[in-house]
Amino acid sequence: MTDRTVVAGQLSSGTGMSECLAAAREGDEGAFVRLYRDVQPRLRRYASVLVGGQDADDVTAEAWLQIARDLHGFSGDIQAFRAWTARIVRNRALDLARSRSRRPSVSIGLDDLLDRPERHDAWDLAAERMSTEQAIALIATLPRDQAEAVLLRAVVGLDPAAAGEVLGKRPGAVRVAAHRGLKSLARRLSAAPDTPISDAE
Amino acid sequence: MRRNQIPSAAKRERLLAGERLEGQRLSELLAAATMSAHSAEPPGLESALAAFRSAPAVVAAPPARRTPVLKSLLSGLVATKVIAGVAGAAAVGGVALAASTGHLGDGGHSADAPGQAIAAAHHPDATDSGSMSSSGDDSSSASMSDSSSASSSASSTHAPTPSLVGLCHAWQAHEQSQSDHSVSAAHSAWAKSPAFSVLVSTAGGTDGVDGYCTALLTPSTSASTTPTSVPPTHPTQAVTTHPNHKPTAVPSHSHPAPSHTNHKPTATASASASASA
Repeated sequence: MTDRTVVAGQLSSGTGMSECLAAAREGDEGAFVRLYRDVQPRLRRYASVLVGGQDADDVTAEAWLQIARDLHGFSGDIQAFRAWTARIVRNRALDLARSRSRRPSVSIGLDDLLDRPERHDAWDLAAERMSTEQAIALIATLPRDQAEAVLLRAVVGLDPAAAGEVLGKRPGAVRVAAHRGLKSLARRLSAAPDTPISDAE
Repeated sequence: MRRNQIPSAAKRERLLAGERLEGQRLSELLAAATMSAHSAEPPGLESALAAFRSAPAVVAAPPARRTPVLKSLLSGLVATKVIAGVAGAAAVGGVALAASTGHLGDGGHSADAPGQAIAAAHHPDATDSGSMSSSGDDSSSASMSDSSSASSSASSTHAPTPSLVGLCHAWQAHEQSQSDHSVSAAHSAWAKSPAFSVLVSTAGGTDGVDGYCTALLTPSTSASTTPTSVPPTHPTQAVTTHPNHKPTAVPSHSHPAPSHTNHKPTATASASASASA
C-alpha cells in the first residue's frame, strides 16, 4: 500500500460525504452544514485562484445561494457534487468579471479577470512550513489554466474527467496542464532557499 | 536539506490524486494547500444555511429556527399559521411568497397555499392567474410594496422564481457577518451581485433592501390573524392610504424606504427576472 498518509488537519477524502449529500438533498440541515464544511474551503481556494482572495468570499457566497437552491435537483455522488459546485463558482467568477467590465458586449474569458491581489512575490514563500494562503498564492502564480487544473485536481479533489468538465476541456488537456503546473512549481521550490521566510506578508 | 528534482510523472499523478510523498517539497506545498480551514466556522455558512432553509422541494426545516426576529413575534395560534406559510414559501420559492402571505392575510385557506403555489411555480407562464390572483390579492401588495391590489395580482402571476424570503435571509445573514467590517453591505460587490438583482429591484434599490426585508420577514404574520391587535412595535401609520387593506399592510409602512413609494414592483421584478434568466 502506498503511504497515503492521513495527515491530521487535512481536508477529508470524502468518505461518508456521499451519504451526507443524500441527506442534505432531502432537507437535513445538519448534513448540509457538514457538506458545506467539506466543500466550502475547497471552493474558496479555487475561487481565490480565479478572482483573488478579496472577492473569493463573495463569489463562493453567491455560489452557495445557487447550490442551496438547486441542491434538490442534483443527482450524483460527492465527486460529482464537488465538480458541480466548482463549475458554479467558476461561472460566478466569470459573472464578476463581466459585471466589472466597462464594455459588457465584449466577450470575456477568465484571462481577462482583474489582477489577482496575491500576485506578490510568492516564490519567496517556499518555506518549510507554508500556510494554506501562501500555498494557494504560490499556485495562483502559475498560468491560469495550470493553476486551475492543479487546484481542481489536488484541492477540490476531482479526477481529470471531472476537472475537464468544469473547465470545458478534455481530460487529457487537464492532465497536461496540471502536470506542467506541478513541474513548474517543483522547479521553483527546488530553487528556493530552505530557510523559512518569516515575514511573508 | 531536500533538493529534489522534479518528481516523475507517476509521482506527480499521485500527488494530484491526493497522496503525500515523503521528501517532496511539492508534496508539502500541496499539503499546505489542502490543509483544513483553521477557523472553526468558515464565513458564509449562515447565508448558505438561510438559502438552504428556503430552498424549494425540501421539507421545511423547523421554522422556529429561521430567525430570531421571526421567532420573537410568534406565539400560539399565530405560530401554526406561520408554519403553514413558511412551509409554502420554503417549498416553492418566490411565487409561494405571495400566495402564502395571502393566505395568512385572509386566514381561511392556508391549506391551499402550497398546492397553488407549486402549480404556479412550475408553470410560470401559465395563464391560470385566477387562483393566484385571488390568493395573492391584497396581501402580496401589502408585503411587496405600496402598490394597488390590481398590480399585485399581476405580480403573483409573473413573480420571479427566486425566493425573496430566502434572499432576504441570505442578505441579512451576510450583513450580520459583515457588521464588523467598515464596508457597508449595501455598497459591496455582494449587493450588486446577480444573485440579488431580483431582491434589489423589488426593494427599489440597494438602500431599500434592509427595510424591505425587515418588513417582509416580520410582517403580516403577527398582525393578520389578529387584525384588531396590531403589535405595539409596529405603530400604525397611514392605514388610510389603503382603505381596502387589512392592518397587515402596516408593518411594511413602519420601515419606510425612500425609493419605496413610487416603485412599481411588478414591472421591475419581472424585468429583472427575464434579464437574469
